[in-house]
Amino acid sequence: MLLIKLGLRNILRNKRRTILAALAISLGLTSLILTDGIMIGMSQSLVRLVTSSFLGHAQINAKNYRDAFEVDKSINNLAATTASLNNEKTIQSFALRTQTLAMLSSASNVSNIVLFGIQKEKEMGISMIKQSLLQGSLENLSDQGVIIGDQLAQKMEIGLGEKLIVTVAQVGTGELSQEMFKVEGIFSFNAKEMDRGIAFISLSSSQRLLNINNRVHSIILKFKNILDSSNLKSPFWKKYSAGGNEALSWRQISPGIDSMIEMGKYSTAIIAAILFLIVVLGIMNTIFMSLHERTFEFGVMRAIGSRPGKIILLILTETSLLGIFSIVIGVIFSLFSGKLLSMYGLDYTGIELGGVTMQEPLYFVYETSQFIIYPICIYFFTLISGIYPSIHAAKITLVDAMKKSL
Amino acid sequence: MEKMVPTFEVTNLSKVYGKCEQTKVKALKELSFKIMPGEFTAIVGPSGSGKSTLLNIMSGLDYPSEGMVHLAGQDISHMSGNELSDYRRDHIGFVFQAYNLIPVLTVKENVEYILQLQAVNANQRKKRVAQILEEVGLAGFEKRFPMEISGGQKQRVAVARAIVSNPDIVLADEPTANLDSKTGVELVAMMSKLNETHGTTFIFSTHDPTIMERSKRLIVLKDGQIVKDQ
Repeated sequence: MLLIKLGLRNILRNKRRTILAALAISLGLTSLILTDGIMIGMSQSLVRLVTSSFLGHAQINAKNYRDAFEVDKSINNLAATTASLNNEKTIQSFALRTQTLAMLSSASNVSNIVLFGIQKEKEMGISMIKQSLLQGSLENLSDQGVIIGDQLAQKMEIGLGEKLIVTVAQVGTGELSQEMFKVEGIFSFNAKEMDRGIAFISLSSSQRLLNINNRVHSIILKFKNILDSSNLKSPFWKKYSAGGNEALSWRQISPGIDSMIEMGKYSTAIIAAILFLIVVLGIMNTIFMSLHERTFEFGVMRAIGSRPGKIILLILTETSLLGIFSIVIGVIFSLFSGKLLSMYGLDYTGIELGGVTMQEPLYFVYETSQFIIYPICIYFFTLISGIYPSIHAAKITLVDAMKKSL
Repeated sequence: MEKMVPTFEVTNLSKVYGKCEQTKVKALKELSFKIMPGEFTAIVGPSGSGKSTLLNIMSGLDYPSEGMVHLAGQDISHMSGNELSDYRRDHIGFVFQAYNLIPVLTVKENVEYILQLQAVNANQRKKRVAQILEEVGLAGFEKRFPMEISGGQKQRVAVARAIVSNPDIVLADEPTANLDSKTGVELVAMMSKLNETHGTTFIFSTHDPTIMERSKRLIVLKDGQIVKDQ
C-alpha cells in the first residue's frame, strides 16, 4: 500500500513529464493497434477483392490445367464432383466455367482475349460481374450475347447492341470455330488486364463453340466462411484433388496476394518491435531523469533503513503505474481513432497493391486480441524498461548520494 | 555492580580515501572512543577534520579502511548491504542538515515511514506517531506536506522521524545549520529534553555553540584525530 501511495505521488509530482511520457507510451500503443487493424483491413480487402471480383474462394480444375490453361484439360467426373459439392456444408455456392483463348473481331479492330463461358445465375452469387456492369445486364445475357470490358470496347470501337465475331480453336480437332455475338453488357473491374483482356459468353455457347459438349474447365467455389478457404490444412483440398482433378485455394491461385498478406504480418511485427524499442528507451530516459533528480531522496530512504530491494520495488511500482495510466489512455485513443478509421477508412482507391487495384478505402478492423495482447506487451516492456534504472538507483553509493548531508 | 555496555565503541578506526600513494588522504587516524547510553555528545572541529566521515562510518553509510565500530556489542564494519539497512532501520535515527524529508509524504507519513519498514502494526503506528508529533510540537500538522511547513518545523519532523522507532542512537549532522538562531535554540532544547526524558543517545556533528553548550561531552577532531575529549 505504501509503495503504491509513494509510486502514485512520485509519478504525479512532475505532471508535465508524466503526461509527456504517458503520451509517448500511449501513442506507441495506439500506433501499434491502428497498424494492426489497418493491416488486417488491407488483407481482408485484398482477399475480398481478389476472391469476390472473379477468382472465387477456390477452384477445382483438371490436374495441371492452370499450368497452361489447355482447353482439352476439362474437369474429370464432373457430375460426381458437383453432386459431392452440393453436399458440402462449408460451401455456399459454386459455378461452372469454360476458359479459352479467343479472337474478337469488330468492324474496325481485332483483339486476342480470354473468353469465359459462365452460368449467369450462379455467377451472380460468386463473382462481381453483375456489379461491375456499366451497361447491359447479366440476367439478360442471351445465348448469342457477349459481355466485354470497357477498355476492350474502346479498342474495338464497339458499343452495346453492336455485333462482333468470336473465333476459337475447337478442342480435339483444333479447327477454327466462329460465331457472331451481340454486345449485351460492358463491364469495368477497374483492373486494366481484365477490362481489356477478357469477355464472357454463356456456358452453353462456349461449350458449343469449343465442341466440348457438357464439359467445363473450372468449378468456382464460394465458401460460407472465407477462413475455410484460407486453411490449406483442411481435408477439403485432398478430397477434391483426386481422380485427375485438383482443388486450389485462392492462396494457391494468387500466391502474390498471399505473400503480400504474410509480408504484412512481418511488417506489423517489425513496426511493433521498433515501437516497443522506442517505448522502452523513452521510459528509461524518463525514469533516469526522474532518478537523477531524486538520487538524494533515494539516499535518504536507504539511509533510514530501506533495503535496496525496496527501492527497486518502488521504481517498478512507478513504472507499472505509468504503464497502466498510459495503456488506459492508449486504449481510449485506439478505440476512438479505430472507430473513425473503421467508418471512413484510408482512401487507397485506385492504388495498385500486389497487382490488385484497390476499389475501396482501407478500413480499420477491430479484433479483441489487439486490445489484450498489445497492452500486455506494452505493460511488460514498460516494466522491463524500469528494471535497469531501478537496479541503478538501488546500487547508489550512499555517501555519494548524500554528500550534502551526513 | 553490573558493567554498563557502551552504545557505540569505536576502536582504532581509520579511513583512507584514494589508492595512489601521492593522492591518498587519511581522513581518520586510528580513532578510539566509546559512547555510553544516554550521552548527548557533540563532535566538533574545523572543516575537513573528519566529522562527517566519522558519522558516515558510525551510521553504516560508509565502511572503515581499518578498525571496528560496535553498536550495542555488534560489529557493523563488516556487515552486508542488507544487514546495514536493517541495522540502520532498527538502531539509528538520523537528523540531516537539509532535513531530507520525503517530499511526497505528509508529516505523519514521513514519521510513520520507518515504522512501516519495521512492519509495526497500523494501530501502534498511529498511536506512536501521534505521541511523537505531540512531543515535538507538531500536533495538527499531520496532513501537511514538507513544502507546506517552515524549516524549523521540517527539522522537528526529522527529529520525530529519528526517534519514533526508539533507536539506540540519534546521529545528527549540523541539525541547526539551516535554521535561524532562535529556531536552532528551540530545536536543541527539544532534543535535549528528549535526551533527558527518553534517555535517547544523541551524537551531533556541529559548529553550533548552542549545541556545544548543551552537550554533556565534546569530542574535538582535527586532521582526523581526536585532540580533545571532555
